[in-house]
Amino acid sequence: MSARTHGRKGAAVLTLALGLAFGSVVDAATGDGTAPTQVYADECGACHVAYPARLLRPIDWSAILVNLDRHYGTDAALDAPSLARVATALGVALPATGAARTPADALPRITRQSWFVREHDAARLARHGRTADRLSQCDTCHAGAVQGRFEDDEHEHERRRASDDRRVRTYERQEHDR
Amino acid sequence: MTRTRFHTSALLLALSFAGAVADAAPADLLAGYVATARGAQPAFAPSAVRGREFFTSRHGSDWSCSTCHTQDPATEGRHATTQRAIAPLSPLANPRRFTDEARVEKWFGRNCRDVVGRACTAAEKADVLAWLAGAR
Repeated sequence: MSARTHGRKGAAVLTLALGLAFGSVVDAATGDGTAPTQVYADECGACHVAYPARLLRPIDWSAILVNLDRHYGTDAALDAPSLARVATALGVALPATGAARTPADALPRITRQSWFVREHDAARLARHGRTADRLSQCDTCHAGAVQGRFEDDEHEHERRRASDDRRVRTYERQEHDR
Repeated sequence: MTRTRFHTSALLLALSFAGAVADAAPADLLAGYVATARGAQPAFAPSAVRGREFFTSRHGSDWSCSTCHTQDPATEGRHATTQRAIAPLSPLANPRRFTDEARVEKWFGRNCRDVVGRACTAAEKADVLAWLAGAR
């Protein structure tokens, strides 16, 4: 066998190996069979924390999904299979084609939910050296945000403290009324 | 002679293997955009200089590509709104870039509408890719 034949054989083997390698990359990237939560993490998590579904009502998520092409100032349009998976990941029904469009400036925002505003008041933000204009990246302050965890932080401590205070007050009141 | 040939082919093979992993796909994508562009302009040849100009211009809107991706495609960018880190665009700095056509088309689609206000032409994509592919 000549060295040339060896080379050709090597090339054939390498071509096959490369084909297999690229084949698997393409499969993973096109999202065929990719779990909805993975699609949500990849597609939405590319630009911001893949916010946990519980942070908005299902009706709000639906409004966001039908308006992805004008998504808070950017175009975040998804192809139909990805959109279906994202809807599944968020636990909402995929909006019907031609569903009513929400005016761009009226799209729901997590940062405008009353609980969010309460927990991120100016005084608290100031204590952490933050301002109210860049709150979309939760993981700046909440280390577990990408995994959907917000409880291992000051808020939870404060909630516990408030709850303890309430218990103490109730106890004191009962003592007082006795 | 036979031995030399073998060494040469082994070297070419090794290079094409390394090339395939790093930038064969970007080259294929570029070739595809060039072929499409030549449908409208038969004399079209991609230009890294034009690509750079396109990438760093604001096209009458608030943003240019470089607003988020910086003017150096070999470095990490930052999303202008959310501040999220964006991996380098240059395939030399980030071998995963331009290896998946669907992904490339998705992001060209979204980002061209944001920056240019319309879909980019194949010629514009070819120019940008020619610049990005050579950016170290």
